[in-house]
Amino acid sequence: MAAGATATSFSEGTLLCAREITKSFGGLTAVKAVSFEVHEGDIKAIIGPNGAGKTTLYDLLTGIYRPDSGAIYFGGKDIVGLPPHRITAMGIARTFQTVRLFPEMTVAENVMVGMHHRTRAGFTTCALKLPLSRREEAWMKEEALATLDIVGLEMQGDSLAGSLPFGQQRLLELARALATKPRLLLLDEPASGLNAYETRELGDIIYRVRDMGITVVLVEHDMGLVMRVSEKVLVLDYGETIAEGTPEEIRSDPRVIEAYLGSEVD
Amino acid sequence: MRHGRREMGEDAAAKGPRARAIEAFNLPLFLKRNALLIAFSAFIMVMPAWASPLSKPLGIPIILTMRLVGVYAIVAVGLNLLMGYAGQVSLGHGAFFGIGAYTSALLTARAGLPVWVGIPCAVLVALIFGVLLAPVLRLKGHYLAMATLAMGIVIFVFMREMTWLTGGNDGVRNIPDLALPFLKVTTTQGEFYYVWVIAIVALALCSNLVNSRVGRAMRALHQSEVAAEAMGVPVSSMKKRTFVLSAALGGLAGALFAHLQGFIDPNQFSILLSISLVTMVVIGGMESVWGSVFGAGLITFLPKLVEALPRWLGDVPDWLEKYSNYEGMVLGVIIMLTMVFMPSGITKGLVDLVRNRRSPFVNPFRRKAVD
Amino acid sequence: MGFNIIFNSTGIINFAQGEFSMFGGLFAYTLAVSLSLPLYLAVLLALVITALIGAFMERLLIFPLRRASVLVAIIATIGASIFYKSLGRILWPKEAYKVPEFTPGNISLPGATISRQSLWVFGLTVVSVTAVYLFLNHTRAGKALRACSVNRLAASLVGINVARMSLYSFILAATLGGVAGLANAPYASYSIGLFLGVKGFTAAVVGGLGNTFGAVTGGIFLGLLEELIPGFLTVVLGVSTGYKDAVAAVLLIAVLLSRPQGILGRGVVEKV
Repeated sequence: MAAGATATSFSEGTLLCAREITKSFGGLTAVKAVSFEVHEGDIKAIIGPNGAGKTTLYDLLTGIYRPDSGAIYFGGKDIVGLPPHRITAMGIARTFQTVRLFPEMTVAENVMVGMHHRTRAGFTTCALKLPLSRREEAWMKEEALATLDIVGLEMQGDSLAGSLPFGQQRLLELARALATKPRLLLLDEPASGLNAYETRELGDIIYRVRDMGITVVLVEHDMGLVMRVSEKVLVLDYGETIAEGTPEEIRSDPRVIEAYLGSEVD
Repeated sequence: MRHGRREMGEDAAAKGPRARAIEAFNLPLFLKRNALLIAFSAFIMVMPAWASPLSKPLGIPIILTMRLVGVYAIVAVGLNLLMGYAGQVSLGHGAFFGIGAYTSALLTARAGLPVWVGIPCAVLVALIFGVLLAPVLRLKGHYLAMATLAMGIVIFVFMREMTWLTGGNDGVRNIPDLALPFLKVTTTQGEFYYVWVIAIVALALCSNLVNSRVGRAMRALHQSEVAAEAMGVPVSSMKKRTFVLSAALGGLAGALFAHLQGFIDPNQFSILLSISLVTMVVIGGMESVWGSVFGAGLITFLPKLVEALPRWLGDVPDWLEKYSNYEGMVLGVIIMLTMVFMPSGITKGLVDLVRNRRSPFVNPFRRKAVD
Repeated sequence: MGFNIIFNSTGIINFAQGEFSMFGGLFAYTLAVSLSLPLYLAVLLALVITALIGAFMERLLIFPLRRASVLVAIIATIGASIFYKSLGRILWPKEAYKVPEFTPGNISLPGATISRQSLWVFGLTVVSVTAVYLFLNHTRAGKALRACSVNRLAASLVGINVARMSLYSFILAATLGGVAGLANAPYASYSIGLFLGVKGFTAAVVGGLGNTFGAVTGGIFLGLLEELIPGFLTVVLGVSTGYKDAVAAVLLIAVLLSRPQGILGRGVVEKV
């Protein structure tokens, strides 16, 4: 693969670049030769009908699956084949379509797990409670509360994550992802299961996150939210890119309307 | 607006030595945080004073048994890190216990090394075996349980059959008593303190560990491996390290055991030992360092108690006296009842009862809509 | 096989399966020798008692634990195994009992002598495998049981009473265990449930989990291997035959680690 050649052709400000990535499970090709770029500071939406390969795409970007072919560059570095925790440490964080918190840990602890790669205390240091581990622990607590403040959960720090109402669980997942101090945040259907009010709040939070200097990609079915926050939209269907452009362009694109049978785009 | 705070790590690291000194010397805070540990240590310290006179009328050698409780507490706590916190089942931990016991026994009884060299070597050998066997952690659930059980069986068979090294079923005899450099420990009470000092240090370290970054990572990967990995926790290396740590604690406990008993043979380290260890952890309470100590105490004292009980009651029916095998029945019933009614373990159940005024008993017989 | 039936339909590894065999053999002994019942009646009654023990165990222990974690369920069946074994020790304090052979004596064939008993063992195995096969494939309950083993949730959605199927599977497995105990009856003694558990699980994994008859194939393969290995050990390597006890365990670890994708099927990658 001509990795060297493609690496040089990044345009200025490209944070993430996927080239022709493909992934099949058995006979089913979930993602077929998808290419796209995400620029620093963007809010980009990926939409498409159910089964279009959006979540698989996330799994490829975060290293949970390895693409059959194609290349993924993040900040100019090839990340294909790296284990997920390394990719996270490089600056890609994600949330899950089905909330995957650590339900039996407190809200603050959930966020502190997100800070794992930003701290260093190992087995020995922690067991002996050496000064490094004490300092880190104190810092993590403070930082966790600050991160929870972003999504408005700072008062719930000591509740069990599993006991939060669903909408707050989504927000906690977002906070936990932010705690990894990402450059790129991948949100997987953050608005599903939220009511209209919570969705509006979520939109504000996404703006706030972008203003912190974090690039945001969201997979979302809620077209209201997509049209409101995103600057660029990528449309997938059956694992293939069928359109890419601004929300206005997408809204009037005949292929997109066809893919959705003209029903879901309001 | 939060940008300034994001580099707090470096800020905190640069905090002056004065601030650090204050943190370190905050005595009341230290006492408060370690209240349980301090209380328990005190309890152990004064134990010989009240337990020795009590032993005879009760018919239970309390201090003698407590030495073993200390030994089992060490390995049970290690196993609890692996099973309770990190969620990885091991039904073969008796193997590490046995490896530790044989290493120290052979080094001291055969090679003539001092005991205080033998014990660290035992820890080291168990640790090496832990590293070698860690690949089984790729498996999950039942498969991991069965693979670790199989691992325990294989090591047991090798201990029995490698007669040139282990002496086979004849075992290793004349293992020297516990000792420190320049100090031989000969009395039961001395052994009791020797074991419990080590056990309490191990407990303290483990309880520090579980309340730290590492402990959080363990619990996180237990609850969702995918999410933990995605949050930057190196899941597989975390599991392996925990496994190795628990293997090393198993080796330590095994070595102490060998020196306490003075004689070991492979049948002491069969899978039944592994099962008792797991039972200690599960009955005492998963995700609870103190639960393991309690579990170790319960399982170790149970046989003695069952043996002594009829004597308290006086007249024993003839058939009961003849078949003294009902220890297994009592253990079996306790295990089954605990699993059915208090699946999170006895200590957790009791804590729940006191703290939340909630009955720790679940009613598992109630039918619910969908299974 | 009984082991596999329970694992499939309830997702629980039953470590007390070996004790079912113990009860089968020992009850047959008591009924036939101590109470001097006719042998066929004793055998039949022993099977019924074993099946009842299986049923009670399911209702009192397994049903309440149907939502518990893997570990809790494993420990609980181990608890049951310990309990049964010590109960057995109290009821039958001797180490081994000899149940009368079904038909004594040997049959002489050209070149070999076979005890009639071993023919019975062989016959019983064939009959019970056939019976289970017919039950699973040609009766309503059997088909429902198979449905549970494929997907319990789906089975419950199409109206199969999963809880009852779990009960059936325990009765069936206990009966099979009883048959196995009878087949071994002249040598009825205390088996180590855990060793048997590992062997059963190995047979099931080697033959393919979820495939009841795969377990039979796996069992035959394992049995052959265990018979062949001691010869190999003594003749070729010159070491003790005692290592044979580790054969199943080594095989299990090797299979699990080398072919996790093929044999584990589910559970390798947590679906995201």
